[in-house]
Amino acid sequence: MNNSYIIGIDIGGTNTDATLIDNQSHILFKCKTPTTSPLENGVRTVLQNIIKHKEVIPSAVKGVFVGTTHTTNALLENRDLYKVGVIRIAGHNPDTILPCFGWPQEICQSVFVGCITIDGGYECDGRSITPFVPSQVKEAASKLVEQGAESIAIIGVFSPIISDQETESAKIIQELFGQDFPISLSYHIGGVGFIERENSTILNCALKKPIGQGFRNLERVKSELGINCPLLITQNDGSVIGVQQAVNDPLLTISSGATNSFIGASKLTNLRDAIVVDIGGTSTDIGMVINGYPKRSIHNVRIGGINLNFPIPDVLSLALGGGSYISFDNESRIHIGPKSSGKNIFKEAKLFGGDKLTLSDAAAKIGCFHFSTGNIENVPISQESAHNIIRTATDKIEYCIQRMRGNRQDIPVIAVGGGAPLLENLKGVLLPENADVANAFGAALAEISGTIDTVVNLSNREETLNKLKEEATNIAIKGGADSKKTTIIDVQITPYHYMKNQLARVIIKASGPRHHI
Amino acid sequence: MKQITQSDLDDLAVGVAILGSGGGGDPSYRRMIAKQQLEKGGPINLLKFSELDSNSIVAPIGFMGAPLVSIERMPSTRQFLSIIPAVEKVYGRKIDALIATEIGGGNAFTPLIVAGKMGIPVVDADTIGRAFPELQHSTCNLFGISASPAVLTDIHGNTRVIIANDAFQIEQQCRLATVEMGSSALLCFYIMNCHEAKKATIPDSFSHGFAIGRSIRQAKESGANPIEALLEYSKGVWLDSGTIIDIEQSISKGFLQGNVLVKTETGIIKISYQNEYLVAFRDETPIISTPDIIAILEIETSTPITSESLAYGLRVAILGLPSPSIWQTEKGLELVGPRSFGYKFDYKPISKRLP
Repeated sequence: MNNSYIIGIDIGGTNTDATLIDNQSHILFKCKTPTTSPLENGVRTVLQNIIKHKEVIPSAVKGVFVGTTHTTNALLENRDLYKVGVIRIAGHNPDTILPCFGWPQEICQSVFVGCITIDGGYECDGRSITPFVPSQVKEAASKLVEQGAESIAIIGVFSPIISDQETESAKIIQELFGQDFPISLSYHIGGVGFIERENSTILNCALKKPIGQGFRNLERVKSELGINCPLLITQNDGSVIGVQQAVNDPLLTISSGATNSFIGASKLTNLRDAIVVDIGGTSTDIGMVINGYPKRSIHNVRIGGINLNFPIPDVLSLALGGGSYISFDNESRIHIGPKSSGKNIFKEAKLFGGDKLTLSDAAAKIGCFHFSTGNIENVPISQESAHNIIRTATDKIEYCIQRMRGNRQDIPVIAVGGGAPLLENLKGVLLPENADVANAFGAALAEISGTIDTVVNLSNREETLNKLKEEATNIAIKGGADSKKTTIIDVQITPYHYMKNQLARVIIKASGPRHHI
Repeated sequence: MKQITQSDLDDLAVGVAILGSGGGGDPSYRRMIAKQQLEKGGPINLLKFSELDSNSIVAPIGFMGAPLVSIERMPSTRQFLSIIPAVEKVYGRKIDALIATEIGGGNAFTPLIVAGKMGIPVVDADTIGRAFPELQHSTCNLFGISASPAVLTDIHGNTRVIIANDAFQIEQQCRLATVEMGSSALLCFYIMNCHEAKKATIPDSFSHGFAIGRSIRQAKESGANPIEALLEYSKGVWLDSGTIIDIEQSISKGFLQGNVLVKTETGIIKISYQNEYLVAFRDETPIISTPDIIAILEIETSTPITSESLAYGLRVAILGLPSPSIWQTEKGLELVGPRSFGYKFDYKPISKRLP
């Protein structure tokens, strides 16, 4: 029974990493290749490597789990995003806060086309604010598309409680522009809280572009290699979803890269409480695991300067990685990043004959990084200067570790990612074996979750909720989660205030590690 | 005179969320409205009573209803523009300045937004010193200022005028109207002249809100513990810390009502609320009660959490701050003490509850 495997893949901004694990979660093989555009070529390379080197029979692979920072990077680098038109279903015209208020200007300018407010929306007691007029949807959508919208976000007042006007609007728009026209409905994205839900819906629309075709191609590549198990995408909470859902709701995957590396670091070291520093090619992410799970921030969730309304791991990100460009100002002060050569490091860095001085050049010069190719004679700086550059980088990282640490002075620090050796000599920092593939390992360990989204009578509150929790747990276990380790990770209750019998929409999510195959 | 800046609005949002004892509405939405007003509209000016002409008429203004509604069904410009002309029509007098009905929560921003739109100043004062759920809970009521006529506007800009026998009946009538208006309405009442307002309101409440926000911000900037900095400034106590494990709530009779359970190291703390957090119990014993202020802060970021923003799994600190002194008097407690909310025990100041 020892011949079944899981493959975990992490598609980072610089490298695509993969790990092959057995049913005891041991790493049997790992490999790395530069991330490609389109994404699937790099994924094909790592999958072929695994099959070739470990003589794995494709049918013995029971799951391919993919995590990626692709969506986050698309947002942070503000490229390859759909232009979004916004329809607010709100008969009273709540223009006191306009869409994208407080967003960073560059993202707002490249994403937001315009907003049209139409009649409809609900009061909290279920009355319409003004009657919904279907023809207004048609007019608004046509006008927004004329103005350049490539996708449409629809947000109705109190739609998390009554969603019919949003779904009807979607139908009308799809009749107009076809089934494939990208639309996001807000009731699907989040609960009560109009602005955060609107922000999330707009971003979800915009991110459909970078994630759409690329993710479908991943599935094709996997099948071409004869691997017939499902390809699943890891999401923000560390559990997995199917490709179709990831394409519909890319926002769910926006923090999966950080989640995977934090969980991977915790499992590599068997430390359940630790600070994790993931030094990649483009950026460094610093976060914390508590009891084996990434610490979440629930309030003040911000990505790229935009307020959102769903839990993600609490991460401090630094624009500092192996590929970061190094420059000196007039007073010979060292500047690292924020620009990085990213996946072009093997062309651009001095080490490889390029013309850009990068952090990797300095690290290789002092023997901290080791590359199989490249020549440190090409790096035109002194040992002393290289040491100074590395110290500047580690000082920046240490400062962030202190901020994340707060008053937990005794918590250990784990360094992972390709750049982990940078912290090798820092006191109290652990550098586990396989640190360079912590995020691909974390992806391979992704949990199985079960979600219940239903409307129930809560007059017998505790009993009803316990029953639903049990149902969610059972779905997770049926999906392959370990029955002993499955726990409830989220409970959202939205009461229908105007109805008798304490009716409420209840969303409960259970999640647990995979049961040994 | 002080001209309000964008960064004042940020400090105020933190300060008043703490003063609100969980109520008055999450300031984040009203802060955004005020910021958009400052960015796209005219300036907002804050005066002291001494800078106001003695013949001036002062109008307290704020939202009434369920805070949850105001973060989903946001107010409209029409609603803000309609109310003052309606009040002037009813009273036959020009309104010279606005004050906050309550400094606690998002309602601190309400007079600032309306003042910016109407081009009139705000006086650095309010009529509660924190937030309370009902309209009779006002220093104006203690000092005998009439609550009638009260003027309400809805999101469409429609207005209702309510005249009633006393503050309690104003509360009942306005509450019924508010429920019909979708459980949130803009309200202006206890209209008074400058002389009366000096006596019957709590002065410097905006300054107090700025200062609390500043104490937290400066502690964060300097690496000190923000919660301890806040407690030192406000002479409060850290009651306990834990994780939110259940939130039971409903919008009933125009209020957000319920209980929140926090699992701490030593047991479970239950906090009961009616828009505002009113009482915290450990087992069945009250550990703090109204009119003292109960603040729930997310522990990692020191963000105050208002009752409509409570979320499962949040790690929180529960703090107690002393009530404004006027509510600790016999007459004050009759109006806002635990018995006035139906609890069967007497008020004991936070300073005397703890060892």
